[in-house]
Amino acid sequence: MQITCRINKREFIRDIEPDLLLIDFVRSLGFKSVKRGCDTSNCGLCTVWVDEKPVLSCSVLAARVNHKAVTTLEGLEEEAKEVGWFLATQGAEQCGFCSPGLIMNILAMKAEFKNPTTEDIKQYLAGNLCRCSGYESQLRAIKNYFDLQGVAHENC
Amino acid sequence: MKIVNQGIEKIDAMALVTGKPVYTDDLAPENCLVVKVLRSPHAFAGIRDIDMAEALKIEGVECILTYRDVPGNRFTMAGQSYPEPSPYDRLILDQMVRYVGDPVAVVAGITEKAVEKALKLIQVSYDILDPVLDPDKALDHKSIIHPEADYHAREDIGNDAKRNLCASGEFLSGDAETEFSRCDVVVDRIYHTKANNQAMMETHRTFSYLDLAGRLVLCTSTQVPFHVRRIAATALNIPQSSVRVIKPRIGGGFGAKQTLVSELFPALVTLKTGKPAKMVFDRAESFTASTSRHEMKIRVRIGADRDGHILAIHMDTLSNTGAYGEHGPTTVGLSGHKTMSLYNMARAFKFTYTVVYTNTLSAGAYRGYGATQGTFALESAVNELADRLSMDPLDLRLKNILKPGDSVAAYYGETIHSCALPACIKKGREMIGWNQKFPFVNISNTKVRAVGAAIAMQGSG
Ligand code: FES
Ligand code: FES
Repeated sequence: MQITCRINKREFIRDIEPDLLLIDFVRSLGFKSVKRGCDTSNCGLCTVWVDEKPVLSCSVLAARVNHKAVTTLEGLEEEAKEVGWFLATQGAEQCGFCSPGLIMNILAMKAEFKNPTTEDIKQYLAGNLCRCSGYESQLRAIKNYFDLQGVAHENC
Repeated sequence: MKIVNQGIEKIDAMALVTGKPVYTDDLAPENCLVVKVLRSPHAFAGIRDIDMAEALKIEGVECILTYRDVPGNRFTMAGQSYPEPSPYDRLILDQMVRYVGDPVAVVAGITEKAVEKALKLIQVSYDILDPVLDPDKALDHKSIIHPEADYHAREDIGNDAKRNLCASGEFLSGDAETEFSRCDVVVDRIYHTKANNQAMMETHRTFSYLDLAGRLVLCTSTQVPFHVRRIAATALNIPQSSVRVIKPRIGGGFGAKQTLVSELFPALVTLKTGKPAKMVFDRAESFTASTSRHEMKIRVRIGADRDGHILAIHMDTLSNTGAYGEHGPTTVGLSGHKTMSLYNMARAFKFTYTVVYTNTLSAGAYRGYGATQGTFALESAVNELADRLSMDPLDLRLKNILKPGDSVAAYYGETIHSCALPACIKKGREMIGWNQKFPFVNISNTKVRAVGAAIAMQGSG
């Protein structure tokens, strides 16, 4: 079947198998930031945005993005560097394999929350697993990132 | 202090956080053959026949390889230096399968779908054997997991494959039994730790191709590239100079990648076909067909006089190495040496161990490398001893731990030059509010909140 979609603002028209998963579709087009950690929709590593909303690309058919806009971390290079700098200064990108999916969700959270509390952060990112960090460094980095966005987040 | 106590950014930090293609599967050529493995549904069986006529008819299938297509050199997949303590007990594909998940056939094809279809069409008939599943019953079980004539160990590891014994040994310092007879209190307990999976986020994966000089190039997610080179050469029966290994950035390992896992299947396909090949384990495969932490049953006997001087410790470890001996003879040592050493004031130490084969997933390396299991056992026993002596468990430890300058009997007689353990214990006691909370505080009519303690050591340069 043929689909038409925009990925990172670029148009793609492709013939695909109906059972092709979105993760394999975007990776085959070179968007390799999208990682597969679990293949059972548990880890969040494969997070991309479809029309600005985060989805798990391992659990979405590529056919579903027909006429939609997909964003991967490659399309958010500047934002990724910014968030990434906070992660890096806290040592929260250890093996780094989970970082792209995490950053996609941090940026999505930023669009939804003006003032995320620690609880909000934990809840929003509950689906982003990381085997290396133990999450404390990530939490510190994310708080710093929101603080320096000029967003007063309450410390709780 | 410009450097010490300052954070430094890793050189690859920005590449990682911007999602650059730096991991194995990101670098694989598009035209790689897809490689998958048909795995045994039986814990222990001989392969009578493999019929692949139907599978080979599937369009896009490049080759199906079985035990008939692999070199006959036994080897170990443990990434270890000379002389390689783990026994040579494997082939890439063997006519005998020894756990549920052991590879039976390697299928390579142009698309994943073709390969998956072919996997379903391969007909295997097995002679099912009686499996050994309980490590307590493994020794001298009537089923011998490694009866093969070319099985061998490269050094004396107390091995006897005919008894399902991968390794055994003992260490003695002082006269433990005499010291036990002098003790006022002796704790004698068995602690059982299970096999766990390392669960790094990036599963096992490798791609391979022949370079311009005809050399086999393995690009693989590994912690031990230098060992991969040597082991692949042995397993494939080619010179080391014909193998080049590239280790890109890896997505975690935690010991899982201290053993070869996915490497040899695409390597075999590339050697047979001359074509690039790639194998990516799915998550289920990473759990069921890689290596785990060694399951251990550890009996601890620890005795003290009534003032809390520990006089003797005996640890007896039964380690389950599963179907193959990867890291079996070495992990077990740490269960005793990296634990008893902390109680260097004791007059006698005894450490005995048995590592057995069973028809379960092979164990391997996993953070702590055997020390983890031993620490759980011995530290639990020390706490029980404190209870029996009516002593504070931290005081009991402070009374018995090693001091700088000690020659550490249970650690190969090495001298310890520095040790800040007493300071750590004191600081920990303060920070957790030990004196107010030990052993517990009532937080309601039905609940208590308790604190407990354990100490551990790790080797370093
Ligand atoms: S790979 Fe999609 S959630 Fe884990
Ligand atoms: S940094 Fe390794 S999984 Fe998160």
